[in-house]
Amino acid sequence: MPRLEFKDLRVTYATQGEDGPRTLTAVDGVNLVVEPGSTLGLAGESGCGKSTLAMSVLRLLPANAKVEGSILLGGENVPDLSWGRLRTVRWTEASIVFQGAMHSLNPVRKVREQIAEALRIHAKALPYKDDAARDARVAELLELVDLSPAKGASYPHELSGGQKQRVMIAMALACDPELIIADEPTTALDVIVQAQVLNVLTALVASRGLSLIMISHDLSVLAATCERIVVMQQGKIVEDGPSADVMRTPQHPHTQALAAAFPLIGDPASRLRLPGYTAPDAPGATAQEKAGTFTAPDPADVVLEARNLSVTFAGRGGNVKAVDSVNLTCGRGEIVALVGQSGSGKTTLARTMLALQRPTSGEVLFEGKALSHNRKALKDYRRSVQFVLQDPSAALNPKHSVYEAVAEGPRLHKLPGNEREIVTAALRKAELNPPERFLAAIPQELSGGQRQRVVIAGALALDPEFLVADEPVASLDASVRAEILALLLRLRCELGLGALVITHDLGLAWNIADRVVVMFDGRIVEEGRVEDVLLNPQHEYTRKLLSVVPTNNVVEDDASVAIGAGS
Amino acid sequence: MSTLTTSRRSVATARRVQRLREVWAEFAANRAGLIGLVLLGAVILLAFLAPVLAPEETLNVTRITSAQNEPPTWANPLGTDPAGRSILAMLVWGARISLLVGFAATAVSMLIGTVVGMAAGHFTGVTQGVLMRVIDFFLVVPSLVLAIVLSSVIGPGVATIVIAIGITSWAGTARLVRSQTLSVESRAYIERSWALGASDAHVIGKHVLPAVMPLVLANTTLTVGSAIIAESTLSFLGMGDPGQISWGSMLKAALDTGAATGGYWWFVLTPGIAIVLVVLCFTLVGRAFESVINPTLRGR
Repeated sequence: MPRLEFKDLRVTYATQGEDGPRTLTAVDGVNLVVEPGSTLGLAGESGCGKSTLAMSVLRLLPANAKVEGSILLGGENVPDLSWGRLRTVRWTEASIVFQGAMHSLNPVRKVREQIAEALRIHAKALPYKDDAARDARVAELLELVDLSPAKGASYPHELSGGQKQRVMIAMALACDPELIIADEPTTALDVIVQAQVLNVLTALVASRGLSLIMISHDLSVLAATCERIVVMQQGKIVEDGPSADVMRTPQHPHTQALAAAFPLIGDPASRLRLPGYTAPDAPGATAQEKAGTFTAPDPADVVLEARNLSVTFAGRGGNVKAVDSVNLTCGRGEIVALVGQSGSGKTTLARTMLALQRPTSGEVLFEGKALSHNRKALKDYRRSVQFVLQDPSAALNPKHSVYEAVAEGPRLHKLPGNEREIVTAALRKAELNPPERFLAAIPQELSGGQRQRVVIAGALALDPEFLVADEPVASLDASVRAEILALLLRLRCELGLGALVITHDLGLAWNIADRVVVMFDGRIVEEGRVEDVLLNPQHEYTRKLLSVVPTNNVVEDDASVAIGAGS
Repeated sequence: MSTLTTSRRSVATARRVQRLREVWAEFAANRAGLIGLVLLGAVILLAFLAPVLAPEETLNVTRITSAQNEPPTWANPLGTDPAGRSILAMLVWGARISLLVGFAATAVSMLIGTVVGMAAGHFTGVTQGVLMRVIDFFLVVPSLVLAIVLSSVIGPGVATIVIAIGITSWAGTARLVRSQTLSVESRAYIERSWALGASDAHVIGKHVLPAVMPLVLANTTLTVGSAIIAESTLSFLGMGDPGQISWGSMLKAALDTGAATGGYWWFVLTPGIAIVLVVLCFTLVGRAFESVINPTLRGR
């Protein structure tokens, strides 16, 4: 008997549309079987219905959801269970590791009490009737997830993101469930912590013979943890197969787009090349792709430079050096990737280079001249160096139309010429075609990718010399990620617009960057050409970063053996 | 160019009209708010029509025919005051002053509160420190005492009352606006604006002000109510213009002439009920408007 079986499952939501009630189909006829002891990865972009599918297993859907078809959990049909039986089933047979551990833990209770909560609720069925037995079990659970039992006395804010996520896993394991559903368990975590959490999960699944359903938008994360991958699009399953096959030879176009979005570092087929655009200087570019007037960036022509830059924040218990004597140069028409895990000071460095943050010591030079902090000089500088922010939904004023958002810069600088022409030209450069269609739209009417293009168009409207982009694709879906990166690459090749791209994603650097700079604890530990640094890392930290890129942990070919040597 | 600009404008106008319609539809769904708005409209209309409904000479003591302290009759539906004037006519005339002072004082208070609040939220360091201490001073200073001192310095009159209420009641608004400013300024689009080269004036005018405006408007309707009460209090204490009738000065007259102890209930109750009714209307409208702006309050 399978552990879990979906039979022709349909889930629809009744929503209130602009013209009366509407129904929205989230899951549309899904048939899926999960055998005991197997691991299944559920992939897809936001809105494809993967979370709805997972929540339906424990009947955790909101009240406006209507479920048709059957969900057989250990042979019982979940929609037909009585309330009492459902409560028993929840957590003892199947449990969930929720997305965003930061928000799923109660901030005012110790994590020990929160883990014990499930034990207390299910005390009747389980042998944890008194406090001593429960305490022992909590200690045991914390050890299972590689936390010391003493950590149980902490409050959530005293733990790091990875530790909180491991507490969530301990909670899910509390009542020895047969099935664990992990909903984007690592999305908010940085690469190194993500690797730790994934290791804990895989080890537990292997040693206890659990079934695991893991949801993610990142195919490589799933490939590194699951035997089988199911890809969903618009509520339907479009591909289903063993992980390695899905990663290596995706059949469905949607899977291909998802797989292509996370490149294999060292693979020449993804170097300076993205679905939809290939740079003229990419290895093996065809004659047609080489056409055009592209001149390779000249590293000696420095646009933006940081000299001995330090930024110190006054914190509790002494000063924190976010940026520590950093020297960095960015050439004209060159894409420089600044990589590092969260807290490495890369965003502070970028904000200081943009003069949004004053350096404690050292200086920023633009075209050879030190940046002054007087108002007039700063305004001129900001015309030349533009900023692309991480989350395009937050970076646009929700009340301003696309026209106003793009025209904001030209108005501030009183650019000569017809404002409307400047705006449409900028939108066209950002590949929002035809521009007239977008002028009157407000951000909420656009998709995530379109919003990021509007932010980029706003920067391009000022005809800048250089862009600084802070995690430009971190909050976007996989297929959109490739489009935005292709746009940045195209701007570099066709307009000679260089960029400093801040990211924690080494695959991004491999995709588009000319040079890569690795930052750790406020210092630059390694820098050089992308091929040199990523294929032959010198610093220990760079090797560690490379070793935890999930893509490199699944496909065993020559390139990944060459680079996976670290750790 | 001009046609293109017009078409862009008209698109923006169309959206604004559409948004206003939505706000109205949401407001109209709140029955209490709607009742408040209708009653308020009626009171404002009566105040406007006062010269027509009760010509000024009906209040001229030298030409009065009715008896003093007359209980409600058909000729004087709400009775007469100790001078023999019709209380209904006084009430209608009093509404003019009460509403005028209520709106004017609120406008003064909102203007100061919004400007100081945005400045205290936007700027940092010394500017913010000084502004916050000023706000704190006005929060803790007993506003009635300050208003009495002010009006005795400037001399009694409607303008005095407006100024006294305006500058004693803006501190709460400033705090509210400041916290909204802080939350708006932490959004990424402000950072983007700085990176585009924005000045302080641009950030405040283009991003912060439109975001705090709905909050200020909702707060305005609530503040008008308390300004009307403050006006009555000050008039009752004799800070008003003795030549003009307001609901507060009617109450003062009732006290001075011993109407309450003399059993002339119509002179005491009517201005009191009028104040309660108008303040209640403003509160209902304000609450309804607030729930339109802040959907999380709906159903609470």
